[in-house]
Amino acid sequence: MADRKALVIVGSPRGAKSTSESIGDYIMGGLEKRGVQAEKTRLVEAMAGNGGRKKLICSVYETDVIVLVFPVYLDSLPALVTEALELISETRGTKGGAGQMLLAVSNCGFPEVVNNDIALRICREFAREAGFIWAGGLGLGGGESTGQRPLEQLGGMTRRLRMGLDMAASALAEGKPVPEEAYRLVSKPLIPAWLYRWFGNRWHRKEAGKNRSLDVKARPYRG
Amino acid sequence: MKALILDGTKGDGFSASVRGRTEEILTGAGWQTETLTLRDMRIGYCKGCFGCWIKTPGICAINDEGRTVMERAVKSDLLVFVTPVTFGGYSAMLKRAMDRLLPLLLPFLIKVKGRTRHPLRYEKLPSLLAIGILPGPDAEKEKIFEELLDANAANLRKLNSCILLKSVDAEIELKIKVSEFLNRLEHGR
Repeated sequence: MADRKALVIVGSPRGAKSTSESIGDYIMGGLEKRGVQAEKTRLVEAMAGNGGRKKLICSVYETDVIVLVFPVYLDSLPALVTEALELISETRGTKGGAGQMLLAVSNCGFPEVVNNDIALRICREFAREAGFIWAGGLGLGGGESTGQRPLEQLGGMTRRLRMGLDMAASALAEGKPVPEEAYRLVSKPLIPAWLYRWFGNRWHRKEAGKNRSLDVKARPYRG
Repeated sequence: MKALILDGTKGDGFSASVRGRTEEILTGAGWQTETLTLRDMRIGYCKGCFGCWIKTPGICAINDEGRTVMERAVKSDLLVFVTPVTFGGYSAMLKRAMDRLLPLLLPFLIKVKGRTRHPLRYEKLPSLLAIGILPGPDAEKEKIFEELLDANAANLRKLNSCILLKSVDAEIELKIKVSEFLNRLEHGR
């Protein structure tokens, strides 16, 4: 399998400073360790112009495995990711490769992992429609807990997440779907939900407090 | 009562017909109706910067027509989405506009009926009606679309309804279902 290729697509509108980037980098490292030739692309750059879009389409065409990593926005995919999937689906008709796999990995800003479900099912429908083999959909709750840092630097908090992603990388390197155990590991909370809410609220108050005149609850468009 | 229609379609024949018919039904029922044709608007992607929460509360950091959608949505009683069902979800065009509605919510995290939610910024927010257009029956995509709208409405703690139209039998079904939902809204159910 030394010549197997993977394309890691980071779908966060935040680009490099995102949890999706951290997850994407970790998976990419895992695939490379297992002999897969991996390439990363960020949709915020690729979708910015025609040149980037054409390159994205070519990269999708030339790969064996796609790992799509993205945050959940309003219970589904960010518009940026939806637009990329629409583009791939529309252009793939004449160029689709047999045996190409798709793994989706989502992360949501709420701690409950169930918030990923609809977005992952949309990805599965995309795979079905565009002719990809569905390798699976992994969902992470409380994504902001990573602080957009490399997962290896976060110690025990991301141990189970990293184990699950390692399992996924192994499966993809062998051309197999992701095992059930990987889902279970990735879906484990990084920190308890109540603590996640506490930290989140503290962060927002702190950031808003940098400008003492700011009214966080302002209603500029009151009808 | 004000209805804001967000047209997230490409404006092809059947979509245009659905949009036009929806406008007629709402206007005929006495609603003041406005339609935003999203394909003609300059709406950038949400950057996930939280500017609308911690820098310019309630106003998106991106100064384009995404702000127009937000302002009109706040002042509406009903938000209507007209969209092709895209892999079970909304079209990218509609999603661009919807992602920019994050300022409807406050940044904080609270627990509501066992789930984490954001508090609402405004006391009054619109109910949601989504009209999804499909080329034919597709049980899984229809189910995803309905659950997506339910999830969006749950975050706003508002009533919602979902109408899925396959191009064959649309017009009568549209009138019946929109009328049923307007009746529910009137009686607060």
